[in-house]
Amino acid sequence: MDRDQRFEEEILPHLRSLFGAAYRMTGNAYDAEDLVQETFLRAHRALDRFEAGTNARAWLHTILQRVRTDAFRRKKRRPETVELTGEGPAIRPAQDALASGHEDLERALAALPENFRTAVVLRDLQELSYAEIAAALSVPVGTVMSRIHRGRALLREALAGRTS
Amino acid sequence: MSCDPERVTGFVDGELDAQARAAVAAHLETCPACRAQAEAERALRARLRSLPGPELPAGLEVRVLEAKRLRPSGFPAAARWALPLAAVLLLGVWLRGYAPFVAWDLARDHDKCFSRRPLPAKVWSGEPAVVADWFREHGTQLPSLPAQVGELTLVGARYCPLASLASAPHLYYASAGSHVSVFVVPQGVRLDDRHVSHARGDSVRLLRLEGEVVGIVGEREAEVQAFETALRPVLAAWASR
Repeated sequence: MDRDQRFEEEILPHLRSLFGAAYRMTGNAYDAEDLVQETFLRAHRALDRFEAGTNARAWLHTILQRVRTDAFRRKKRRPETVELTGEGPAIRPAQDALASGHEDLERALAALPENFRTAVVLRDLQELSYAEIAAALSVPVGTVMSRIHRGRALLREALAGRTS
Repeated sequence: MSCDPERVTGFVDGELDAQARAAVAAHLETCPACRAQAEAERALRARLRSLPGPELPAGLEVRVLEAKRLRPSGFPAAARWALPLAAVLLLGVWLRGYAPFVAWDLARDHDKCFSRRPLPAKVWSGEPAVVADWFREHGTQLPSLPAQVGELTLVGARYCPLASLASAPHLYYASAGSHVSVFVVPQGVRLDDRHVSHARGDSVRLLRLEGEVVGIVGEREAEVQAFETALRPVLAAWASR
């Protein structure tokens, strides 16, 4: 199987899912699109290093985090983190989410500090294992567990606050 | 086990080893708070999993496929720099042997040194032998240069950095109203016998004898010419040593 064929069969099917994660990490569709495009480009180049049978999505997230890190370095500044305010979401929720009553959850997720949001997105939306998340973020597994715990706790607080 | 909310999170995610899992499971039996946390996290996780993703921007898949064709794996991002970089390096190599550029570079250094008061000499002497000894101690053999040419007398010398990044022995000659520099050019220069030019208002000559290139820079054409006449026999003797 040649590289292009392998890319289209094993990697490209994760495009939608990666875009969803990138969208929630960056907060807007433009940055998400850039991030995902560069990620898939690097994945295509590095395809020889992808072990068949391992989790392609986890591998893509490792690349995506590297692309983000490189972009931060270029910009010499941290990405804008979204602060918890009462002024509505900095991330525009997907239209489907608005229609399906997930708006509160989208708002709360968008308002999470970035480290917690990334961990929760990788775990609960991308369904990566702690070990895969640890590898993608270059942090210990214990840190992953702690960030997911804090992220979920903050989400629950935010959701409880809105309903009360 | 006492309450450990982080481990409850690991438990909910099935990420604990058997022993820890058993400990948390036993703890949940007796602790309503942790049980509530586990249930809330499971419910939250289910909601998060059911969140619809954003719409894929139209044409993103096509753009991803196009991009990898435009920057295929055999020609990675580094290669986009390699070509301009190689061109710059080649230009540098070409320039460092290009006589008019070397002439300009020597004139630049001549102007720079003689605009300084006092002169930035490292060895001060009117005696060619003293100056030659100083250079020999620093690893450079010089031809036996004259102490005086016309009105101009040797005053001192030093190594000067050139644009080619090499450092060149630079000898200072001065009279009341004029200056001449003699350089031993450390790099190869493409020239047959001599190169005569004007750079930055100075008169410049590059002379080649065997492998050696000597540069003469001065404000007055006649003085530079006199130095060339004086140096030719010296350089001929030196080249055949």
